[in-house]
Amino acid sequence: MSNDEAILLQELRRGNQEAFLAVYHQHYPSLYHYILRFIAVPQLAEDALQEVFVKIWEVRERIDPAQSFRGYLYRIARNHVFKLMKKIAADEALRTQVMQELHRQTDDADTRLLWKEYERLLHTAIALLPPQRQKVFRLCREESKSYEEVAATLGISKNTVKEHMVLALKSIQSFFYEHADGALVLLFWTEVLINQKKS
Amino acid sequence: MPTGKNNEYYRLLLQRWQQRQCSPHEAIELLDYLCLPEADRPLLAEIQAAFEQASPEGDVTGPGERVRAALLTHIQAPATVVPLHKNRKLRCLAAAVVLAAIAVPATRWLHPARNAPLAGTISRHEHDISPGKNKAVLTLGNGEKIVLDSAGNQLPASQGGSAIRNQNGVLTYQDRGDQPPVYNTLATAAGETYALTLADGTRVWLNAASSIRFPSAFPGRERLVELTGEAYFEVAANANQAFRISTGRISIDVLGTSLNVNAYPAAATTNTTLVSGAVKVNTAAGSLLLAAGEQSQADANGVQRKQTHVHLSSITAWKDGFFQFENTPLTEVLEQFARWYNVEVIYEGKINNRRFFGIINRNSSLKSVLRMLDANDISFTLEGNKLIVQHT
Repeated sequence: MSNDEAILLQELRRGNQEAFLAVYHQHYPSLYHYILRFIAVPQLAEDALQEVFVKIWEVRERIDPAQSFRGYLYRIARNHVFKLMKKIAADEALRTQVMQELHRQTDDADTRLLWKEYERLLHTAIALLPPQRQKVFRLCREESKSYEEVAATLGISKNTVKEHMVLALKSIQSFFYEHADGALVLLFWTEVLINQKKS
Repeated sequence: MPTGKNNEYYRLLLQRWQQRQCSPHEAIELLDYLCLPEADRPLLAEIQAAFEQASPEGDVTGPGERVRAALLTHIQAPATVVPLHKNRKLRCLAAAVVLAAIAVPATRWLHPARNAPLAGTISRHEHDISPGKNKAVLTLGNGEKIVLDSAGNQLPASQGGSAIRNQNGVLTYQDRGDQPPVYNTLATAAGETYALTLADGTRVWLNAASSIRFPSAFPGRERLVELTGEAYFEVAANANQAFRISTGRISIDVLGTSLNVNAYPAAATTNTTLVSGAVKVNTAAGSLLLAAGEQSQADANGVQRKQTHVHLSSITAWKDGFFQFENTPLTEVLEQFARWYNVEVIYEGKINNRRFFGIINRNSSLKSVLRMLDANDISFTLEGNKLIVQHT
């Protein structure tokens, strides 16, 4: 570790904003790429980069100038990336966003073909939905709006939004089932959210 | 047949992900895995390892400058800051729909696009239960039992006037008309399925935990078979020779083509679903004629109820290798899993019998299927062959 870095870190510990920005400047290009490798979507990676450095700022007093700052930074980044990946995995809208981005970035010809087929089927299936259902689906899935927001936007009830989503996913699913010829079958798993009755 | 996939497998998937080499299937598989607690340790390790190779490429001043500006705002007035791209609301998973998986052609799975083959690195440490397979026991006319599976046990060349052949999970009888027929029985256990072509050309798909007794040839005026459990029939047309399926509770006169019969002894009703053609379902209490798309539900007293709007593909999906649920109660979903994965389902506590939609490849391992239920906020433990449902 260079002497300069130790001094910079001492300053950062004391809350020197210039030092913080200097540290940021030194590390952000590789850190951004690191995050992007996992998160794929540039916007999300940018948010994550910001959040990692906000965290560094918050814990600045605990930075040990005697230890590798890069190691420390990447441990924080690692945890952040991991949490974000879990979030993506658990969130339907983020998943779709990331999957589309992965498709755009795929560098292998065969894999691209597979993605293309997947996207083609998905788009066709969405296009076949009745207009209102299509609108609901796009607002929920592509614009990540909540059911409440979509209900307010379209002036319909939240239950109607739910119903549209359930039916939309059903028809997309059966479209894949019928048109993928067994080769590329989209598997959906969903539960009825509306009018549930115990049987 | 999928095998248990270990941590190393998912680490490799994450490497492929970073290199943008994941197929859609693999990407979804990795995301599904991320939802599991056991993913934490191996994937954190992989993410950690990747930082050694972190190096800038291309111009990143754009994002760099934007984040710098946001950070500057933050350190000057931390209370007012908002993340750059706020408002990307994360909705709760439980209420949302889960995109579970995409099945890709087997050939692509076995030969991933570029990297070292993944299959070689998979081991079987984790407790998982494989899906059912093509297997059955054939009982010959003389009572001799032969296991039909991939081991390829020797079959006699013929049975009572028919040549028999066993290939790729299908047992075929071919009438030679030179001997009086004998009765054979084809039986599957839980976790097994088999297909059969009878001497008249009728095709039968036998689901798990089922058996069919049939003559090796059909010289008489009637073609009679006996079924327990579930089977799908494509009956060869022959106006001069009625085809009759008997389950004990009901007997079905098949006047034409395709139907599914679900006659598990433990079920409340025996269900006959007609896909095409016409059938007459007879019980002690009377007869019911079905048209295509209709279903007869016969109770233990033989009283039949006709359902006119049944979801055909969900009833017959099993023969094409899928589970398909259309508004299916959880208990029935689990019943189907129990038969296919050969597990016993035990309920602890109160059951909220929610209903499900979904299509799942029957080649999925039990673990991956349970993961989908898990994502719907249903918790399980698997102890040996007991699937314990804790809460729904």
